Amino acid sequence: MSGKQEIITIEKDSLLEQVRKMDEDGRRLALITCTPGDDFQIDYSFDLKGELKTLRITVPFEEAEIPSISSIYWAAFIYENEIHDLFEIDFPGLALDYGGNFYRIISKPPWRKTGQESSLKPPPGEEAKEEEKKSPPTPEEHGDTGDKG
Amino acid sequence: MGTKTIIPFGPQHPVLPEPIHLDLVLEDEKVLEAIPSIGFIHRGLEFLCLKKPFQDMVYIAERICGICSFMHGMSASEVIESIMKIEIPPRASYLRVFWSELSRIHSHLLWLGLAADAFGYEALFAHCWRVRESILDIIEETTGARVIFGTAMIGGVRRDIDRDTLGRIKNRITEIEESYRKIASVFIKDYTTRYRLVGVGVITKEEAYQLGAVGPTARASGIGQDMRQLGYEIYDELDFEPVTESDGDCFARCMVRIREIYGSFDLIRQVIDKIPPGEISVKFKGFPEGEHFIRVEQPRGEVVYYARGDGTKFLDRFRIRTPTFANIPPLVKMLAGCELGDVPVIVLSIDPCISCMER
Repeated sequence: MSGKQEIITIEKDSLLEQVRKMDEDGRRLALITCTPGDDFQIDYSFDLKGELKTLRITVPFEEAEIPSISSIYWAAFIYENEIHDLFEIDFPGLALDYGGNFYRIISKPPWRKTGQESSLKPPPGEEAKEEEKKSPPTPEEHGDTGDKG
Repeated sequence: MGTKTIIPFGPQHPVLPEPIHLDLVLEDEKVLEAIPSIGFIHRGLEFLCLKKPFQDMVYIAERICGICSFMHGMSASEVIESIMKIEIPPRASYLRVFWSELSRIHSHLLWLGLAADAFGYEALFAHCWRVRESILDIIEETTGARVIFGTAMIGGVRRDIDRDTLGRIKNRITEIEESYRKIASVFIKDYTTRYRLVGVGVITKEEAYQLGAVGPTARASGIGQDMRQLGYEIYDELDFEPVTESDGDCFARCMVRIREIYGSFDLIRQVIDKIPPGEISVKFKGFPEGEHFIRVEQPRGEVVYYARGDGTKFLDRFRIRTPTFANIPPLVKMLAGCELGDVPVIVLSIDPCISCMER
């Protein structure tokens, strides 16, 4: 049981308007999630008394820029800086912009759109696993049945 | 008007328990602004989960944190179970709650010890950790491990506990609670403790909600928000009320944790009394296809797990928002306007776990 949850797909242009409605409804910003795929998919999840409502927008890799919602939910700065540093998406209007220095990591994050194609594929030697993807799992892969002792 | 000074604080500092960096903008000894930055222990675990078969995700999730490890493993299992619509046996749910509440107690006792140490009570620190040791002994007895339990799995749990052991644990819990009561009274009544914590790092109910505070940080400001109210596992069958305080200062956050430990002792007794016989896991077939959000109340607050599968062995996305991450904006608010000497206590008051936060 994880409470009622709903995902609403919206256009990027209406993001700020929809987020403002969430604020007016008294919802708490629970998290922002970025999912890379053919495009970037950004999920803004808001909680109200255990009900989770998620606004979903899609932005293409080449135009990875989304208006910041930190003017409405100030706490969004932390999620937006994280997404900027890990996925290279720009958020114009960020209330607290670290300019790429929020995550002080030395190596380049594998999520970044630069080299996206190669980084999201399994590394060499893992192709076999890709082939196994559609094969039925063995009982061992589904874990043991438990030590009842 | 004094000169502005910027003091870099952390990631390694004698009074910081966790590697976070703060740029403190000061005017004399007053903090005008605190700018946090992270990334010193980022391990890329969300990405690693996409490279492993989805069953292995539970092992990786358990290693996100050394304190609430079991609850991470449980949450990772839950999110897959929700996507694949796997019904786990009731006994497994009770056992998950049993280990979750033990985790909450030992996490809060660890925090109380660190807090005591932070304001100079080394003996109190040792007593808190002595009681915590008894809880770790129970965990070791029932799981075979003290830090990474390894008992959470998709479809249930990996170990059962026999009736005699549960009965013995129930008696020990009562003894541990008595020992804890003596320690708790020091935190509640001692003049110095109150002097160090009361009125420090205040955040109002409205601010805490607007800034997305979770867990004891939110409840200390009067927000009765506890994800256990969602009724995941078997919390809807147990009797408990979220612990709240209203002052929103460091003392209130301390009090919430002190009172929550009593609540966890009570929940463990209820679990032992009500746990039904039966299987502890179910087998399942197939691969996760779909997406789901799971929210669990960890000792530090709400953790959100999101997973998406496309019907193959590997997940498309695995996302974790840990409570410390949500509590950083409220922390920034608490630090603005405080005295430099109060910074360590305020940072500690949100019980930061940067290992969780960075994943």
